Amino acid sequence: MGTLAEKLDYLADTKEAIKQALIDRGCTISDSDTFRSYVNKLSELPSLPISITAVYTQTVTVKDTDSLDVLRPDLVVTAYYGDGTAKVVTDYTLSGTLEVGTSTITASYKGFSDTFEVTVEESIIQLYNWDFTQSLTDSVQGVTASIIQGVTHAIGTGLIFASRVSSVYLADGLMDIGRTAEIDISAMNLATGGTPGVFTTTNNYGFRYNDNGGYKYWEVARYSGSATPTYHASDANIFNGKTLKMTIISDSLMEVYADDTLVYSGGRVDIGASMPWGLGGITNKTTAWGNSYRDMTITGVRIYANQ
Amino acid sequence: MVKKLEDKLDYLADTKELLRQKLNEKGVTVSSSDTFRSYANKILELPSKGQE
Repeated sequence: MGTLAEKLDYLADTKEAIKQALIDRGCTISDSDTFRSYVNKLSELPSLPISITAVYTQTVTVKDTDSLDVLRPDLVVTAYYGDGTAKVVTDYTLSGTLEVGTSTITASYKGFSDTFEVTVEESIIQLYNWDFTQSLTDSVQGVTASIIQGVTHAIGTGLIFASRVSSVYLADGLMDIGRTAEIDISAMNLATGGTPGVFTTTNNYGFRYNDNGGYKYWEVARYSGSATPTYHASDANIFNGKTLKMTIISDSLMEVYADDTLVYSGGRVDIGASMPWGLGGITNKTTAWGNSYRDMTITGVRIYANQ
Repeated sequence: MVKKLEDKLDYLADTKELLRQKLNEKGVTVSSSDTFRSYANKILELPSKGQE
């Protein structure tokens, strides 16, 4: 155990070690300071937290491609100290992965951590945005409905409106799985009757994929129980003023929402089609394919790729 | 002289305890069984003055 003198020496060394530690941490200590005064010196040093809380109040839309830093404005991380004090801190770190749905994210500070949940939406990149502000004279330009009867526009130049207010095509095959087309229809008139062709949808109102002589497109249809349904005046304007969102779910499934209401789920997508994908529109029959037409004003088409 | 030494040892023990309590308040875990010498390293766990 050593002699008393040795113990006192060891104690003196201990005091010196503590003194040096305090000095190392920025305290000023003179030779005249008592050992007891080291307690007050220690009080001058910042504390370590003993716990933290992370409270997240989501006010913004968070996408799965966002950085975790987008969470910071809505996140309050508070450090709690052993002396009963607390402090909101900002130099915390965030870890975790933003995935569509509910994600659990961890905030860490000085060795402590807390978790919180974030609602994450799928990131959607807008690929195209066409605004239709003038009458169609060219397939690249926009359209006001019921024009250019019987004209087929060149493939590869953007949207194609094959004759009177017809289906909307994309020229580059962009309507792939996972993509969504959003079509704003400001005015629709289905009052004119006619025989739009052969429909296979089982929905009373819906969209179907049409393959007609090489033209493949999604179209508004009303199925009346026969292979050749009939449009009625009462069918008019069922989607008038709505935004149609059409998403290719898989090779065999397409979903269509009119505003937020699911109006159609089904159909198929022929990925290998040689013609551009149709994005939707009103069944069109001109003299080339029939004798009727439908009027519609399209105010915009946006195509999104989910990435 | 003996009593005075005992008083000093008691005072020293009190100082050790005050330092231990202060370190715990600061968030550094120090138990009663930790040696006095270990307090130096405990202090070094704290941020420097002016840092937080």
